[in-house]
Amino acid sequence: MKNKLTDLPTIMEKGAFKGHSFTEESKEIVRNRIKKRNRYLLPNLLTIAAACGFLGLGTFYILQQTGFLQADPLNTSDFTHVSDGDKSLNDKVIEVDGEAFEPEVYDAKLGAWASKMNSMLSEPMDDPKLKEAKNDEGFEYYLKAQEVYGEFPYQLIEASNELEKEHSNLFLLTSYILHKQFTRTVHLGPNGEAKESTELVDQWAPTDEYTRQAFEYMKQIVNDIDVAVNHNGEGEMYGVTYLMNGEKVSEVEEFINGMH
Amino acid sequence: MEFITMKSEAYLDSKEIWLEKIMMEYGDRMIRIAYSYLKDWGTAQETVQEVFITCYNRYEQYYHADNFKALIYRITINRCKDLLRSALIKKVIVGTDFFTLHKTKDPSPENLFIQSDENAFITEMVLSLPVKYREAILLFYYENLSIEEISKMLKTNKNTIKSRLKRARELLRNILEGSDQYEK
Repeated sequence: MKNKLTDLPTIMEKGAFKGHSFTEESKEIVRNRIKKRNRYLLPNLLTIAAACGFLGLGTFYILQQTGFLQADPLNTSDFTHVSDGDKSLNDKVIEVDGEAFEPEVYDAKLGAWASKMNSMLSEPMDDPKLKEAKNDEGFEYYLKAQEVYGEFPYQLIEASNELEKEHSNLFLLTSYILHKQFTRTVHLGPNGEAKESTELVDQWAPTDEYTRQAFEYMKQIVNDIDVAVNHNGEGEMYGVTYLMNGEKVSEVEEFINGMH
Repeated sequence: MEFITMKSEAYLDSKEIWLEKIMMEYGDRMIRIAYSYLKDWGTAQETVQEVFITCYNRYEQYYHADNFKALIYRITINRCKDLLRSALIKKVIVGTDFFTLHKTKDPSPENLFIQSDENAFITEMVLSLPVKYREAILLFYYENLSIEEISKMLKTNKNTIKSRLKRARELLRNILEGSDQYEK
């Protein structure tokens, strides 16, 4: 019996697995789907955004006509928060009255992710690679963006339209930050070899303002998701998420559309 | 949005080269792993396609993974298990010939042996084991992974993996010894 099992690779290759492989046709399908996805990412996002805009306006109009909407549910007020030096270009934080929203039950995975990421983003990072890079600002954004995107609970996206939109914006912002680490090191390695070559940190190009802003928006989105999911919408928010009907979502998307 | 459409060609190239490399290196093994769960070659191909697209989308994260082989196997296995749980697969796959073959009222080894040669018989016996035994046997004997590696991949205790391997061997022995074609 043991002999048969030891020979299992040969037996399987000659048995049920015989003649079966990951076909060229399958490889071509993968390539085409990736090409298509890269090509249509922006138009799809814009279509979704436009559709949501129309839906939102339509709903608002109907509610107003039928008398359901008595007053603006968002009682917003501006106040100044402590910004982290010059990094934040948006010092105004919108405080949203939590009672305006129906408490919604979110998946625990999303809550855990938002809480963990919000803490991670607001604290200095304890990563040996970052220390090797002499706490380089852009590299810290790069490492943090990797965590934010990498740990996102993708399996929940299909369950929520809003979450899909938050994910799209986060995806674009994190991808941009990751891409910028590539561009600031491309002169040292044309295929991104120097992206994490911390010994060459002194030769990396400086972090630009756009990357700072992308990081700031990413941080704000994560904060707002955390408040929405873990604190029933009660707390300091930046108004940058669909989940909380944030009024600065369009500003974020305008920024995303202008990223270069 | 310029950055998405005009990403440096070098960057896209590096991602695409990596994708080609992993498809070439792991594609065939993954197809077989997927098949060992799904028992349908078409669904296995589709599942592995999805896995590669996921890898491409998470290039920045996966490219530097310490043990990419373990990672990609785990993704494939999890995806297969999700599929097996879904109602769709119950309709599509459980109705295939393979399942029908093993779900007959008299699935005696003799009947199966008549229909197939020795290798096909053994592989079908392995593939007819319950999932938890089948994956242990295949990862250990076919993929040549250690108990520790399997334990990490399946997020299951090492002793549990050992017990499953032992039980799987017993099950196979019972089946094979039941056949006149095999000696004890």
